[in-house]
Amino acid sequence: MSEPPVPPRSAIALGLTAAAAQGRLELQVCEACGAVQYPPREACHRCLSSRLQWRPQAGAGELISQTILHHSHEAFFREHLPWRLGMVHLDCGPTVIAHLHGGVPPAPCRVRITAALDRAGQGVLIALAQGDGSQGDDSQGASMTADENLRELTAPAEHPKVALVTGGSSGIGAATCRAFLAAGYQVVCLAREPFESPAARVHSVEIDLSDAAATREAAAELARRFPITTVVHNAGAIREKPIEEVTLEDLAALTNLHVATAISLVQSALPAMQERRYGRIVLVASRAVLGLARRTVYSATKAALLGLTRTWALELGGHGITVNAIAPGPIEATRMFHELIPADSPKLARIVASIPVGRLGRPEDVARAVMFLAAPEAGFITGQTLYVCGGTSVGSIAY
Amino acid sequence: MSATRRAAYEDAVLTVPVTIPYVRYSTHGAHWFIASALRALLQGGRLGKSELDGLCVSSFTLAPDTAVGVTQHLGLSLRWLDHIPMGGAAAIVAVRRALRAVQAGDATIIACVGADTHQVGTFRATLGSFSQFAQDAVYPYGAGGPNASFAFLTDYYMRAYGARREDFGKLCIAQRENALGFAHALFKKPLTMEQYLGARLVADPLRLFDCVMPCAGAEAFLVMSRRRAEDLGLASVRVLSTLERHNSFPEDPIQMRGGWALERAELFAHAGVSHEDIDFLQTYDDYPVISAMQIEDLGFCGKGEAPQFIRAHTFTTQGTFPLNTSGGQLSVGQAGAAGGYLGTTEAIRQLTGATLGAVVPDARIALVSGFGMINYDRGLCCGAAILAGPRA
Repeated sequence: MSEPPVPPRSAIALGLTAAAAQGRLELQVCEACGAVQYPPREACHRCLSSRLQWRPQAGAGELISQTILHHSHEAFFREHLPWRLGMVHLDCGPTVIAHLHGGVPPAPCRVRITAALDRAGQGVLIALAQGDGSQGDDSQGASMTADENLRELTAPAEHPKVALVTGGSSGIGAATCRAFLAAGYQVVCLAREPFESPAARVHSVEIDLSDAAATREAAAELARRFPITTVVHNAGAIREKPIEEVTLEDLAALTNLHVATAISLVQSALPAMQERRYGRIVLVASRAVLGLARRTVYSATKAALLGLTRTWALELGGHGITVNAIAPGPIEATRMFHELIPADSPKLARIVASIPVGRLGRPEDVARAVMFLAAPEAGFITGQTLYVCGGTSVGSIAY
Repeated sequence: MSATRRAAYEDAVLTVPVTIPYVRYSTHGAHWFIASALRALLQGGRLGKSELDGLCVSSFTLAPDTAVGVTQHLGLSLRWLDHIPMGGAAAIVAVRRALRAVQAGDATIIACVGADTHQVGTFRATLGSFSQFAQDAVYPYGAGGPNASFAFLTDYYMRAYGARREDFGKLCIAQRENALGFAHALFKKPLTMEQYLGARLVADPLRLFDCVMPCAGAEAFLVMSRRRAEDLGLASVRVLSTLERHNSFPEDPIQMRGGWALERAELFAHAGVSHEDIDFLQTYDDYPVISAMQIEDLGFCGKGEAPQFIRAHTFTTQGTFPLNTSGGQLSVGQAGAAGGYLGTTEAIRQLTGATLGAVVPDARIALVSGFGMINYDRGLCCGAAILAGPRA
């Protein structure tokens, strides 16, 4: 959605915005002659004094003229046409041009002018209906929500930047948490160990995500406490074994860790996302979904995430929520990788030689892809799997 | 009002009306249109470039230049230069300044030019930076531009004085008829009341044919002594009187009257003519409500009586009250500041028998009115001039 126009405004007009930020209507009052004036000026229009002060105003006045725009020169208003405006003669003197709330009857009628911040952070005047004066002032917030155009005009420009990341204490998860912090997000980290960061915008929860009941409880609690708009499920374990040695306990543990955790986190964050009509879900799967020896349970449960991704993309797309998966190839500097592949081993050299780009991936390579899919601007990408694998998902023949 | 009688305009005249044909959009800059107008003025006046010693420019799209930049851009060496950023009142104010300069001998031949280009985005850019008050207190409210400003005035006027859509439609339709013979008009088909009333809404209650169409073009004329014009064999018109008033009635909560109402008595007295002597009227007509207001404030009827006046009269060149005889901006187009010049060039043509389109029979005296610059909630600049042709 476009932002309301932000033409350069005069420095003197900031007084209106400063008061609007605190929910007050203030206009310039001349200390020499008492004149109240609008638009803002550098001197009193009546006596030329420069002794002007911003003073709170009741905002009562008469709507003397109105129009309904069916054309605008700015994209934000064009997207919200028709748009209602009025000219209001304030009891304190000046005539102001104001947005008209839907509850205001046709001119002429009594109205009350209030000041609010528009999405661009600038103070704007809004006329609300005023009956015979016996009604109590309904709060501005309640009135705004009753008028869709004004709600959008005055809503904060951005969705809350709150990302929940699992497995954020190390490797890909830690790199992802750092990327979210750098992008201005508040980060909620769920992992066996805390995400080490001096940033005040980090909330770490120590948890074993293969405990489905504990995870479900934590997810519900976090959704109550934080306006989560972004979920990145990255936590994983491998349990490397040949098929002969795989147990059903292995399957249950990784099903809980990879699949049940995703379901619980998304289910708890979903109501708020749907209400905001905005959400970003990124599930970190693995290149191993294409097949990798000794990864029976790992590849099966990571592949399940692709099923969740495609299914949820269909169910949630209409709510402004996108769901995508990332499938990383071999990534160095992660606990998972180096537990299996010792540094400086011949095995490591063989793996590197088999990667088309000629190197192992780094956690930041994956974090970059997460940030791409988690961005508010990525709203037309959903249900996709992005391989971040140095080319190892491309099957070919070595000549 | 001035207690001492103003000097007459005596010997200085207006001549060589020029129109650079309008186009909806142009890739040329404003300087191109000013240069084209100057070429046409010099050709029409049978003058060399060096004989021009004064220039007065009005343009919205000349930035970052002003008239100063134009002198070097076009290689003009001048002893008198003016830049008049008054939009729809620019031509009247230019006439006032240039006449006095020629009369006093500060300049001998002055070119008065209103010119603008129109490119994708220039109109919006002009609106977004039109004035400090517009930036602070108008543009953030829907960015509707002058359509919204005149919608407010029209909505109020209709309720206050019982005007009907049909009243405004009658003016628009008559002007369209006037425009059909005027080759420079961008609108070339007749307008019916049904089309007018049923056109798409732009800013309630204004519909499409209530609103001027922005375009590119130029209007210009020369100011010189009557003797010089005669020596050059140029038909010219005298200026019997003028008025100018800015920010009139600042305490009115909404603009229902303009500076004409303060100055008209002195205007007619100074000119030595009465309303009955006026053969046709050119109003500034970007929206019909403002034509109605000028008819009232110039004294052709009382305040609030324009609706009845419109119902009682006809406004084509052959009508009982010829108005905007080349079609006005509503049918010709609004080439920025040239819109403020349109009525003056057309009046010079009608009075000197050089009309390009429909003719007002035996026209001797004309009243041209200007209105401009919606700085915040109202037009601040008002002007008018009474012109007399050779037949007067």
